[in-house]
Amino acid sequence: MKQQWFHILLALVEQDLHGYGIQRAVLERTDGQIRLWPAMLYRSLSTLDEAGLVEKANTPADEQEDERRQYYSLTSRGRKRLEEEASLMKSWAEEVGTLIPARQRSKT
Amino acid sequence: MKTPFQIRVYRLLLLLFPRSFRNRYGTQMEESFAEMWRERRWGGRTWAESNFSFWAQAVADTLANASSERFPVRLEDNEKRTSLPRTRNLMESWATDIRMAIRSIRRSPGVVTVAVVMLALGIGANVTIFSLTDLVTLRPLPYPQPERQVFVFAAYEASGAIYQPMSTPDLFDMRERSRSLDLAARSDSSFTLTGGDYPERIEGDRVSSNFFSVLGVEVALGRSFLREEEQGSAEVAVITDGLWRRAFGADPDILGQTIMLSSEPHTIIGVLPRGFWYINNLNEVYVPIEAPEGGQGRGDRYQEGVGRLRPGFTIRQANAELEEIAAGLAEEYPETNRGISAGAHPFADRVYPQQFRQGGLIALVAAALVLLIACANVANLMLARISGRGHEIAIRSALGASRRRIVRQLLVEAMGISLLGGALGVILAMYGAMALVSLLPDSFPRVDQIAINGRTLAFALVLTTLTGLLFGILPSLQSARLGIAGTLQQSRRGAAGPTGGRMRRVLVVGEVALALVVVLACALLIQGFFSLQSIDFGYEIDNILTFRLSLPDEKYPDDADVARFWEDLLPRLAAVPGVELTGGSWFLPFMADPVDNYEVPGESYTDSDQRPHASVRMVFPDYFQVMRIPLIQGRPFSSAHRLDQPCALIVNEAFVARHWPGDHPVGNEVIFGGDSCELIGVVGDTVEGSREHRPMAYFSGLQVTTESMYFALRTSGPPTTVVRDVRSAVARLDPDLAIYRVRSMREVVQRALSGLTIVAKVMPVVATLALSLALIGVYALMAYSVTRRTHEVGVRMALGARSRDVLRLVIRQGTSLTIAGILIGLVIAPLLTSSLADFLFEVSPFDWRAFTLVPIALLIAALAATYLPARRATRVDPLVALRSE
Repeated sequence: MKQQWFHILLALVEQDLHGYGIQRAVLERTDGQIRLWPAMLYRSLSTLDEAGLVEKANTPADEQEDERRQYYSLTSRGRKRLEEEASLMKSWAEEVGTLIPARQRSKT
Repeated sequence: MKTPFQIRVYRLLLLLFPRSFRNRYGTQMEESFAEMWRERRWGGRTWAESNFSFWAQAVADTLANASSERFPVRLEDNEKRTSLPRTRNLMESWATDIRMAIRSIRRSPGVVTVAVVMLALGIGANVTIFSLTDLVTLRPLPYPQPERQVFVFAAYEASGAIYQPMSTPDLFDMRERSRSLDLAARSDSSFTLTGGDYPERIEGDRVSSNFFSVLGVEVALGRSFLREEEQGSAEVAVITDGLWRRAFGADPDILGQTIMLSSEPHTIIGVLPRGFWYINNLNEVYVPIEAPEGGQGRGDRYQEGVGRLRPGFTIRQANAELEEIAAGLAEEYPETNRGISAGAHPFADRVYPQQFRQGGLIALVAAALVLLIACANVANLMLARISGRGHEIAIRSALGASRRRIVRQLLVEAMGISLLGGALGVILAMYGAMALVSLLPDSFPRVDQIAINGRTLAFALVLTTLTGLLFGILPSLQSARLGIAGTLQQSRRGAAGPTGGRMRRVLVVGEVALALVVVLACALLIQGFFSLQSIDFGYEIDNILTFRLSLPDEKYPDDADVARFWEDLLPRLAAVPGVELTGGSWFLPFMADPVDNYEVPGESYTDSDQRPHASVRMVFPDYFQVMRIPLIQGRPFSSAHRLDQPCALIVNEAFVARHWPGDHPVGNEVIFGGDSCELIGVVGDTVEGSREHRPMAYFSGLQVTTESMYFALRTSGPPTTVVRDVRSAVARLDPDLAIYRVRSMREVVQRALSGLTIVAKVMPVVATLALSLALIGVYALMAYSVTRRTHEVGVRMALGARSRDVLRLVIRQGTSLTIAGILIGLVIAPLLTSSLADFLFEVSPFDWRAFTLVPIALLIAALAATYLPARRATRVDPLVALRSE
């Protein structure tokens, strides 16, 4: 799974967000490392939408005044896919732990 | 509400996406973009740079994603979408397109040559200027991870002054406390190197032990400094590769040898790698910093902090942390540190003067406009060429070529022409870069690295591709729009129809507008350049020799020793044949500008930070006469103003205007550093570095001594002729001393203003290109239109129109296009010229002379370009013309 897809899905776990909200959430979570510019963001959303991992959501009641904002939410399939990805990453991380002994790591 | 400019630009970018994608996400993308625009960070950079990087990222993001959206290769489910046969088919059809493009280019060598030359000029200008701009604004410094390199400075909260030097104890405390930065300290120094044939002044730095590791540089031979060597007792030195080769013949046994630096033996412990570079190309030796004992000297701020961000930290975090540490220090040491904060700034911004970077960007924008003009010309050529090929295209579509396929084939052709132009342009740029280097002073950092290299080539390639798309896309779409029937019908008359004609006119109007902008900017810059030549500095710069002389502490420890030496030296210099007057100052104009706080009795200040400050100079008594700075009131310094006498002070008019406007200030008292000084005279204002006259306070260099002085000698002839005799006069007094930084005053000033000088020399070339290309465009359009209207003209003449009427008809058409272009240009021009303000000195960026004369000149030139084709129209023979149908 591409990095930006992973981060978009992750951003949508807690709440539904609109495009710029996703961008902010990813930026904050990655400490400014990943900035999703609009074209990248919406092409990813389009791909994820086609794959059935996210879907368009209703605009929350307190945000009704700006009808241009389209909110997105995670589908159950998306949530499952994210969990799979996370456990895969976790297993990789563990592999690093077993391959490099702790003593050696602390030195670097 | 009006749509903001940036949104409209972004909307244009979004046209790159397929329509379906745009319909679904277009508004949302715009909205996201608008939010990002609102929140874009300045990151301590200039307006132009932030905008440039913001747009660059937005464009890159759009280009990359739009192309993958249009030509999807989805790896995750490739078995479904991309099958092998399709790929082969794709490859084959591309090969056909390329073959056809080559064939078609070869078929019309004349048109193609003209197009290639025009593109080459545009691309060549851009690549040349990019080679400089790249170095100045974009290319990393020669250290590992240069973007993590910062410089650390003190900031005075009261006056808002930033980028100020720091004190050694403060820097050392920050080095201990900071988690986000590795911090080193350095300060300028210079030494007399003795032991060779003659004493020599060499430049060097005093640095903290971790200086080289903070830069990420390792010594090539030997070792770097150790922490315990910072105490000042260790007499060790690291020398550059240059000094090693120059003074020691690249002796491999150099380590452990002793050199005499300002009469003190130093053991050489290391040699820096070849090409080591820091700020300027002059430094040749590095010795350890002398850390004051027990945190003494916290108020002596002369160190520059050099830092490297530790992994995982950003410059924002570093800034926040430095502020916090500075606040802590201010609490611990209120008497020296109150009101003084600290900050970090990207290192690259410090290396090149702001003026160079801004000048580079302006020149690059101008060059980009030239390329746009060239593109418009070539697009027009292509339109003409395609309308001549209407038949071919119609037949291909009749045989089943899809519209898309035809567009693509024409684009491939355009790309081919663009590549040829790019290749020729790069060759031109090689000469251009050489010419550019010859305009720059030798001291320009890394001047030797301005050349055509990988990065400039990559830039050229991107530019070439964009150019090809830009001038290729309009004509190809145009040709595809005409249906088979339409094309076949129109091709008989050899014209692209009404739409084609309109597009061509729009292109020419655009060209004229852009050319006007570039020529206007150039005219303003040249005006600024001349106004600078005649600017009143407040002093005269001809026939003055300047040099610096520094007395080593070891030999001249007391103020009295220093004063005595200067007193001995001055008459000896005055006695040198050809020297008329001898003066000197702590710093000459356009060099450093040290400032100090002072108090005027009778004025009250709420806080010690609220005290006013002025530029401070120690000068030798005859300095004002040497520089021809007028004495307006009172008397000059004399030999009576000596160490043991009461403090005397001379100020400039700006200083008087601040405290005693319209009054007689002589005899008043001013307190500097606790000492009361009597104001004995007032001198005229001078330009010291910026245009505004700042308040200045002068002391006699024989009363308030400093061990380093810049000398200024007024000579009867060319200043350089006396250098030899001056050298030996100094050597007779102290054979271990050497004068250095020997330059004429004119050179000093010109060097300081070289940013403007370069821009003023480069812009006329760019403007000439813009103007000629635009005129070629006007000429070509009119020539084409006359040819196309031969039949019409024939009919008119057969019906009795005189040749004067025909002439007027054609000229009117050309003039109306030019005027439309000029009007549009006049609207756009202020956007560009307002950014020129820093370069224009006394000239307004909206100077009415430039804004009237340039459009008139352009109009006349365009009339001339229209006149030739118009004349041809009058020679149309009605009989021939009518038969041509």
